Amino acid sequence: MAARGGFRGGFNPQQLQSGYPKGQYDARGYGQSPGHGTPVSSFHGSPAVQSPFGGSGRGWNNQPQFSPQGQFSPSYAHNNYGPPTGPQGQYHSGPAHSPPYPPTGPSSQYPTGPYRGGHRGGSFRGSPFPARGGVRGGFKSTQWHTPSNNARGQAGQAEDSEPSHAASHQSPSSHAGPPSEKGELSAAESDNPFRPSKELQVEDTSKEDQPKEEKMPPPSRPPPTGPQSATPNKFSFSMKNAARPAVAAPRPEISSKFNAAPAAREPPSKPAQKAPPTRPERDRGGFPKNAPTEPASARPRPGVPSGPGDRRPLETSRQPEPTPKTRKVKKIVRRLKEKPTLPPDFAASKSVFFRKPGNESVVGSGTYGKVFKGLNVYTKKLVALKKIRMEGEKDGFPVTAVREIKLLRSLSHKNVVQLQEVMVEANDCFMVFEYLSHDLTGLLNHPTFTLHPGHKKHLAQQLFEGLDYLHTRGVLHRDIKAANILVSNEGILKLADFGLARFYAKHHQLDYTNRVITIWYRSPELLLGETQYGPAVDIWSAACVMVEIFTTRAIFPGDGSEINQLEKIHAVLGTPSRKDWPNMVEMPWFPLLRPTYRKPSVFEEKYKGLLTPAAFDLLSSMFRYDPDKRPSAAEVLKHPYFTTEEPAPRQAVELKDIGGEWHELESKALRREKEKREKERARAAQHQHQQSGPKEDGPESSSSRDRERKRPNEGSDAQREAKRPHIEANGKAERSGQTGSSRDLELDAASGRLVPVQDSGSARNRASGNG
Amino acid sequence: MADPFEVRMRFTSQLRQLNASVTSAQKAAQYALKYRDMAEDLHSCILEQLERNNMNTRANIMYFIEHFLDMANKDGHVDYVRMMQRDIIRVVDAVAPDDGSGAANVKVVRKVLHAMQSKSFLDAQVVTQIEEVLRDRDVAAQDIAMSSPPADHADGGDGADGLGDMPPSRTLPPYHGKGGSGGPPKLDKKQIEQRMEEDRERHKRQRENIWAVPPGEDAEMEKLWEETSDLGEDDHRMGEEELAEWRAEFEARKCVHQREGADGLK
Repeated sequence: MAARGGFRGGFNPQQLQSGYPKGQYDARGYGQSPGHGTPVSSFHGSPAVQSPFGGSGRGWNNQPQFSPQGQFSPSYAHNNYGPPTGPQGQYHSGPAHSPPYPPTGPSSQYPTGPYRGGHRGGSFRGSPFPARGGVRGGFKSTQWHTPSNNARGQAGQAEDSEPSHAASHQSPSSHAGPPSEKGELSAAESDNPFRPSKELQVEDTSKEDQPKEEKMPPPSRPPPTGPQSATPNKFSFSMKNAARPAVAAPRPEISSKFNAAPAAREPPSKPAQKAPPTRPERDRGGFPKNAPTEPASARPRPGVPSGPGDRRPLETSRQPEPTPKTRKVKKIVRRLKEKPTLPPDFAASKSVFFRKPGNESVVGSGTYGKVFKGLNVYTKKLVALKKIRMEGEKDGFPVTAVREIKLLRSLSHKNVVQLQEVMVEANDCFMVFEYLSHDLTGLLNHPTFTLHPGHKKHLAQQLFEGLDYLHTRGVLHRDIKAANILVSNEGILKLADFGLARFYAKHHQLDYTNRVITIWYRSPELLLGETQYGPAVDIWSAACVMVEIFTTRAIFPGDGSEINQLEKIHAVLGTPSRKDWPNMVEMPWFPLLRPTYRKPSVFEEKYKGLLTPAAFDLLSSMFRYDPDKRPSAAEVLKHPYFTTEEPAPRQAVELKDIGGEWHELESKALRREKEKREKERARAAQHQHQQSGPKEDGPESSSSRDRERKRPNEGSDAQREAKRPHIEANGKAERSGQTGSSRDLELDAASGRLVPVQDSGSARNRASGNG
Repeated sequence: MADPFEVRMRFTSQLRQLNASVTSAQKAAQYALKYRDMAEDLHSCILEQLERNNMNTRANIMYFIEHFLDMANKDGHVDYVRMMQRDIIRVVDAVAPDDGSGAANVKVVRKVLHAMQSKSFLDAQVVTQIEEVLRDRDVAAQDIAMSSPPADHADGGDGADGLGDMPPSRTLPPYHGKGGSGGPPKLDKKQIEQRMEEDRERHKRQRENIWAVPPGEDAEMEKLWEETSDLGEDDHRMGEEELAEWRAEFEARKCVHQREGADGLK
């Protein structure tokens, strides 16, 4: 609206938040009328961002949320308004609690309207719409203490007035005047029931009060309603003095001030409009001086009297004027009180998304940071909060996170995890996802639940549907693995973790980094250093996952090095021939990693028995060495395995009954538990042997040592353990496995190796793995 | 005046410590330029280190040479350039020896030679000649890989799945290098991994410049034009989606009464 334009022009165009507050300030100072009162509330809304009411903050911050700046912006904004800052604090608290005004409606409004609407809109689209919505909401609540209906009209007025003011009063001092008013308002609010706000407000007020006192003395009205009178006076002073930002008036007085002062001051211009609430009248008393001068000269809209008057009349016409409005206000207050009936633990939650304290809420962790499980205290819906790791970021908000968010926002598919919003909270940035109870690793390692063949097919089908969607959209996932595939308790599969994903050029070949995909799932061309690859790398990974769905074990569990990983692949699929893969010799690292032996494929022998004929055929086609020969995801979905072979895919709805949550994390914990027990048993056995006789001692102790040596590795990664048996099944693996401690280290590295695009990431991985 | 022996020692150690980063190459190059009065000496240092070090260091020195000549030329120290032109064959022999151990470096040599040619440090003719020699070495190395160790030859007689079956176009006289039939010396695991890391690093740096648009009028437009595909399925899909979005937005932004009116009509 015009208001925005005015804000930006007059004040800081930089930040929306700042812009809003300014506008509000102006409105108040100039308007003085009830309308001003409303702006104040809007202010509160904006400051609220900082306050526990993350919601409101977000609404205002919509845009900022995207960028890290958002977090900081609020504070900056305040700072910018040097004088207002003090008052702002009050505002924040006040707004959040909004109750101060009889209309208290605002408080409730913040959380509801501007709050979420703003949030989502902002976070997802960043379009101006959400922002506006939020603004209006704020205005409404604040301005029209009584009915919400007035809000629009008032808001419009306020905005109008604001721009003009801005133009006329460019100096902060002019603004200062308004802030003080706000301060008063906030104070009044603090008096009201809002708990959290009170404390904050009180502090703010105290600070403000001091400055006010200095200034206050001059004001005339002090005696009767301490705060109220004071505030009006202050206003007048501030207006006169212009320079004093700190003017914020006492809070408690606000209500009284509103009632008494407004009427006196503003009656000319805006009284009628804000008439509904008694407060506006009081405000008028305080504001009148400013209002008449500026509006008349500078503002066409406010037309001081006319513009606002017109709008207000409309509003007023809708609702009975002064008295009825006030009554209504009271009613609204009651409703507000009723709304926040949150259970105590939720009410105590500092975040909209309630999390259990400490590490209890962690459902996953990796190089990217941690994932928490959260519960939206208002909607009661579960979410997964992915905390964006900011430690060690020298260049500000990590560009990889920006890339991930951008990618995710462009995706919407039933088999791709949905990013609901991006949230900034307490200096941390979170990506908010829908929550799913299981991931594939956890599910496949579930102690009791086993998948029906139809379930397996359905899971595989969803996997390739998701992949097909990504590839059609020109997205390479580049980190497909069991732990990154989530499964809901209704059997719906979703691809997650797009930290390595990127858009790729479909119609021409570009150069990408080959340090992608967790190494067990990495295709031969990537292992040989190819940098010009395409969706076939995801198909290879998905084929690995599909084998895992059938056998619950990874098919190529290497030790984390490229050399060993290639050996693992050769051990199952044989060494590639030139016929299999004509371009192999062109691979950058072929001279480094070429096989020095020849080996036939044992894939058929090993896996034919574990798979249905069609599944075996499908997998053999996906495990082609030559990426050009692998089928696309769309082709996979047309394979007889999915289309004709029995049984038909069946959704794993039974997952509802297994209860609990099964992620990689849980299954790891379970395994660790088991290992511990086994270790203890082994130790006990060793003890016995030692006691029984020296002869047995030798071999026994050595074997137990072996076991212990291997276990630490397994402990580090649940998947490893699962795969261990498989490793021992094939000769190659065992040979390499017996290299002892060095292998352990490598295993750790392998598990941690997420192979992020950026070197720093991988370096981190490796370091942590080795450490 | 620095002690010539010390200068030599320092430069040698800098060459040995070269890695994939630009700074390490720059440091060494600046050092050589600083003591340009010992140009002959330092040049022989380069040759010496090329012949003495492992595969990775040789590759790094090769990349360094390109960088070094660049800087030398810029500073007007053509001595270095001239000496390198003179000894280029020796350099290539050292970096990608024909005993099969240099197979992994063949690509490096090619790359650097082409870069030097484009900067006119080398004659096109020389480069072409070297190229031919290199191709033999490259393919020969591949041949060894394909034919695998002798032990395999016995049971690997079935050329069908064997790596030994080279397409006719690639057939070259079987390679019999100094290594005899034993094939190239087996590379050290650590060296391989180090090499892969350094290649990745170099690749990353190379990618840092891919966004750059060549100078010239409409260059950017031409580039975009080149990269733009023909109208296809994807574009239709995008169009459909945008239309749907627009419709939804249009609906959402209607006045309340209009919306209701529309509903009523329905």
